[in-house]
Amino acid sequence: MRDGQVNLLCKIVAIMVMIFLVAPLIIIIVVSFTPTALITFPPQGFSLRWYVNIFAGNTKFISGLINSLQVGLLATILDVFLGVLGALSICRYNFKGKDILLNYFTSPMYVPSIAFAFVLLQVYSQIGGINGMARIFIGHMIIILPYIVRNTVSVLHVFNWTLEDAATSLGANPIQVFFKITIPLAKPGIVSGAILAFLYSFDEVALSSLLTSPRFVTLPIRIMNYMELTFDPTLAAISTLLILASLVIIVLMDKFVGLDMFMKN
Amino acid sequence: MDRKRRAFLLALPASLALLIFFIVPMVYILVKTIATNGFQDFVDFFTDPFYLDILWTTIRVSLISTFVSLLLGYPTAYFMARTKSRMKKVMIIIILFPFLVSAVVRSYGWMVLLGTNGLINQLLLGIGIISEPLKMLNTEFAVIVGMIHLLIPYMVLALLGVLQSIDPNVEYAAYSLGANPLQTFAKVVFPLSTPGIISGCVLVFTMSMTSYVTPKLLGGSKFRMMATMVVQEINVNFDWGAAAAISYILLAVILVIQLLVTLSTANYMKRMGGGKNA
Amino acid sequence: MATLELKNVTKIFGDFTAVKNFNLDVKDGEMIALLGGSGCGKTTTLRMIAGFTEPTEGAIFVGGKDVGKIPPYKRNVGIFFQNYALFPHMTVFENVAFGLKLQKLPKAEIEQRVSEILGMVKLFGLEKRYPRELSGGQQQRVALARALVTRPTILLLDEPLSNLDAKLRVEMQVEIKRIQKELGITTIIVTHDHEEAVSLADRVIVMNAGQILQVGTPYEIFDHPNSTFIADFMGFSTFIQGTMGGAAVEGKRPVTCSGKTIYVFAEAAEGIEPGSACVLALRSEHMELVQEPGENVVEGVMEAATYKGHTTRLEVTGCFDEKIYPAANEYIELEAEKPVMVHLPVERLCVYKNNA
Repeated sequence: MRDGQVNLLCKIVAIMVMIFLVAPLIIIIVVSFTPTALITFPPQGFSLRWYVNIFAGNTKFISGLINSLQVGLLATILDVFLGVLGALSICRYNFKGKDILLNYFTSPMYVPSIAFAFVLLQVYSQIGGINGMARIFIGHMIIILPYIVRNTVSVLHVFNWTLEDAATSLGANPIQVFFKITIPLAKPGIVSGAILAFLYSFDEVALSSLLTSPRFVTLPIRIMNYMELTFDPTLAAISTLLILASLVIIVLMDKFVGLDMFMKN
Repeated sequence: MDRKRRAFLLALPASLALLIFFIVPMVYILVKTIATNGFQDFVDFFTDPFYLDILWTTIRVSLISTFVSLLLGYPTAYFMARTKSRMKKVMIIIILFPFLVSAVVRSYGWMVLLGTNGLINQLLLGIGIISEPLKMLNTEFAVIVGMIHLLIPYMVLALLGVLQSIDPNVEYAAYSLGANPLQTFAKVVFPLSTPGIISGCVLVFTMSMTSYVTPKLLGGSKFRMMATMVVQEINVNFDWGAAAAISYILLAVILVIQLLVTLSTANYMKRMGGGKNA
Repeated sequence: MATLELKNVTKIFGDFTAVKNFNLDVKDGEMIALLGGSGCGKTTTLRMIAGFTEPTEGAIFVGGKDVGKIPPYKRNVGIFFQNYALFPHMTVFENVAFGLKLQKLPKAEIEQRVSEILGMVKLFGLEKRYPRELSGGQQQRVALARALVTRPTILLLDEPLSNLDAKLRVEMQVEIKRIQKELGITTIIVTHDHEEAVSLADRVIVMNAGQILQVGTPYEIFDHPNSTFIADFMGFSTFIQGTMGGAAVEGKRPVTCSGKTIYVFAEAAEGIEPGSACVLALRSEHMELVQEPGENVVEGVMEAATYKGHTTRLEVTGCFDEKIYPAANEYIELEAEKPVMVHLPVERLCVYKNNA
């Protein structure tokens, strides 16, 4: 009886938390279709003018989107290479100090990104010559590496290494073993890590806002800059598009790697 | 020997990248700051009430956000860990969803809600509870609300992992020995979940200590936390020494917290079974 | 199909010698079992034959050729792994075809050979299933098919029956033996289970601490282990200390155990000096409960009885200083202190020098 009451209390809190988490997002979606510049709820009608404004108006959101995709994809691809090899070195071989190496690979997680951004900014001003995308790319490459290492390690940690022996005995050379056995089996960790890393880069603000140059501005910075000048529902429209994109990603992730992979963190 | 060399070669690219682009710059700028100005910037920070107030604000906001996140996150995670209903899947998606949505977008949602002309003020004015709009946006309150919104998912995930790994039979065992639900929770479930509580709180606290977007967008220009102050020193005051001091002090605070927690829990975790529950 | 020869093979890890001066000759098509407890060096020997680790000293010859310089993926050794090591991301067909695809065989030939080998292990219609969708027995057949489909020169089986329930064990034991004979493939089994070893192999090699203790046919190893250590390992239950008597009479020699005289065959006691300490060893199922006194019949009292389904295992005290453990093919109720008579058949008694 009282057990039931405890559970009921937990259930009520859980539902309230869920509403708290979702409400602002739903409100953004609803007001993005408002026809007026002043946001009211419920909206006085229905209009797509703010969506049109993303493309037609002077928002530069699209160029920001392209920049963000560029940085995110490049940094993720490079880090998948660095991170997967690093994770393999930790999990495949037994040596003293492998815990230290893992901590080293994940160390950027413990450093406030604003502090790292400040350091990079100073270094850039000292050496000079680092412009445009490279300024942000270097920062992102470092701060997203831990996500790929960690998720890959979490899979390789429980990897059955006998499978590699089995493939070898069937005639697979080390390179074939790597690409036909190890990588396919580590894929859930690599993919989930890569997705988290990419999203982190795509949404990153603290570092980008310090390192951005007028020639290369990422989407979140564009949105923040726009916000300071014009607080109109164009922001709701672009936010809605980003929310929908996230929804698509989450459905794809559930289908291809399973959401469990993302809950380990 | 051969295996060692292969492990070394595999670890090399990532190690070099981190060394060149991360470790060396972090150390170099610290050394350079101290070399040019001594510890003056650090001394200034700890003697100027203006900066100490910012540090205190940052800690206060982080503590409140962490506490509320735990208070709301624990029952949520417990329910998710124990329920068998289809709601669990929906809840997991809702919990994971904010991970994928930019903090800028989420702060924007709260700006729409909390602004002077925002939806909550419109509602309250419409009903007639208030006669003039409440100032909610650009206050510490708004920052804390936005922060909790940002942090609850992390807290829930940290707790969920631990709570799910607690065998429900230990609860039934406690009941069978005469413990009521409250005693069972206090003496069995709660102690077993402390690793998750600690890791969740540390994660959430450090995230909020270092947060930038939420205080900037929801706190307004007069509300200052450590991270926003770094940017202000650089872009507004052009005081790079102060920016360096704030950056490295923030880093030191985070590292000290991590170190203390690691040291204080290592022994406990070992005896609980090698962090299996963590 | 080839002979396998290990010459003075030694493997040292750090300061631990896993295999010490190991010599072995395996005939073409022979099935050998390496039998021993964990850490005896059997798995290390298997891994050296497969090429996963290199011997510290000595050499391995397959078909007369030294394979020391051949990497494991070119040795053409089929391995059946203890936990099957099926590739979880591949279907049954893909698992079995893996080795053939690496050989770049034409598609039609791959399909033909896969279905041929799946027929041989009696797996039909499961080609599209993934390993986790199969029962333990089916997974094992896939693993066997995968190891055999590339027509390896040597087949290595690592604890092939250990993960199966009793009924499946018998079935697979027959299957493995049939397929091995059919293909005439030289086979090494590694196991810690003496039943597995004697039921499958033509020749059994008992190992301990990296060295060979005994080589023999399954019958020799099972019924005539050459030391008390092996007897214990092979499941002998009863060990009795005694003193060897004098010269043989009618081919038998007396042994005095706790004041009683037990006769053993002279040939079983060869090389044991009269008057020296010795140990008699027996299996439970070889002792009989009898009603009449006679030669090699001892009296004692029942102390415990454990019913095991087809037999009852007794614990009997009072015959010797040691307890003895006869088994009866019937249900016997425990009656504490009930007097019983036990016959120790002379043809079943093994006798060893007592070195202790």
